Amino acid sequence: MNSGSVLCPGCHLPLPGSLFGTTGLTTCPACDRRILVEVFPALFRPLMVGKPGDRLLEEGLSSCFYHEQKKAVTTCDGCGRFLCALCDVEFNDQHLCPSCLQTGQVKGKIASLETHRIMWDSASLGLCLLPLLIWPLTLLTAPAAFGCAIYSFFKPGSLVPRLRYRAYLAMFFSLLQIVGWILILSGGAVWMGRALNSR
Amino acid sequence: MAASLPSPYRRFPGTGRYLLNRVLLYVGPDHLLQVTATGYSENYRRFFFHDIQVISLHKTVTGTIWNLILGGLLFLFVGLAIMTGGNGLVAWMIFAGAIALGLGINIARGPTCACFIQTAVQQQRLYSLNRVRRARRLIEQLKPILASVQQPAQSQSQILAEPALEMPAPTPTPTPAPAPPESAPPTPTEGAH
Repeated sequence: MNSGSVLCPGCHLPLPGSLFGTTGLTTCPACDRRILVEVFPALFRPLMVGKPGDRLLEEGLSSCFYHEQKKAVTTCDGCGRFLCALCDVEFNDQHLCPSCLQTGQVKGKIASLETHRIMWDSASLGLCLLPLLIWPLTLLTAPAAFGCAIYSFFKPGSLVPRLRYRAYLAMFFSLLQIVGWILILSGGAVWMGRALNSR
Repeated sequence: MAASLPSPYRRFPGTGRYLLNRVLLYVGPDHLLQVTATGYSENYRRFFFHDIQVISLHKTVTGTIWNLILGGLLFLFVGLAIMTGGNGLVAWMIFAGAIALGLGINIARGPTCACFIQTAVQQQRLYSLNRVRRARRLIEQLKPILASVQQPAQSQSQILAEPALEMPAPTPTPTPAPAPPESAPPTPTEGAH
């Protein structure tokens, strides 16, 4: 997307500047849809130019870990390696090398880079309640749901505010199912024993 | 056990739907966070305040269609209630009342819209902002925040007033070599001719 161009949210064609920042809805000249466009100063900001990194001209100066020919300007706050201006990624007031940034994203160490989280409490509640539709399955799923609910307390929850009641509900219902199965199986065993004794 | 730190996010009213997913919008300390909840997982998309270039919306006909459907059903149930009378009247009027409540809520929430946020690299729909009033409220809330965050950025008028900003740096012109003094002796090559 080009910096400086504003597209109609309906037809995605460029809009004239007279339609920006109006107090009410206006009409797109191309598609006749009623639109509202609010433009902010970042639209007119020139794109930042990356730094290529200076060549190493003198002997004895430290070089970049990833580019031997380039002068190191800083060290990585994650691994301590020397970095040139090209490899230096400023993020969250830290200087990181690309591999530390990637590792932080993959392992979920940098929360602001996380794009996905599994909600173990919701999963356990689903695993506990959905198999009730085919109830014999609960023999297997109830212990699994209880395990998931316990596991959810050891894993990071949602990034946004969220209560833990799903995990407690899952533990409660899965325990009920486990107790129910214990009663059914023990009752069945007693009945079988009596049936065998009567013969 | 995972430590539970206080979340820096504040929920912005409104829930959107995308396929079977629930989409919510949160306001963070320096960004908007769009959360797409699939049921057992959450996907996050961040829009940092200093990157937001445009917030735009266009009205959609979804609300009008719902009004027509609910209005039609209300008309049908009221008609059936009048036609049947007696005990049927009460039953149909209960249905009609429920439909009228839904219609009233839909009208009170105002017209529907599709809201988009644009940064330098993407234009993304904000599914939770599906009412014009709610989207405009977010824009009004964000305006002063974005203005203060993006203050260092140059305004459009300043950019236009500085055409040299886009121009490449002038290449240095070669300075002419000083002419040799007239009294200088001829070089051996000149003398060879």
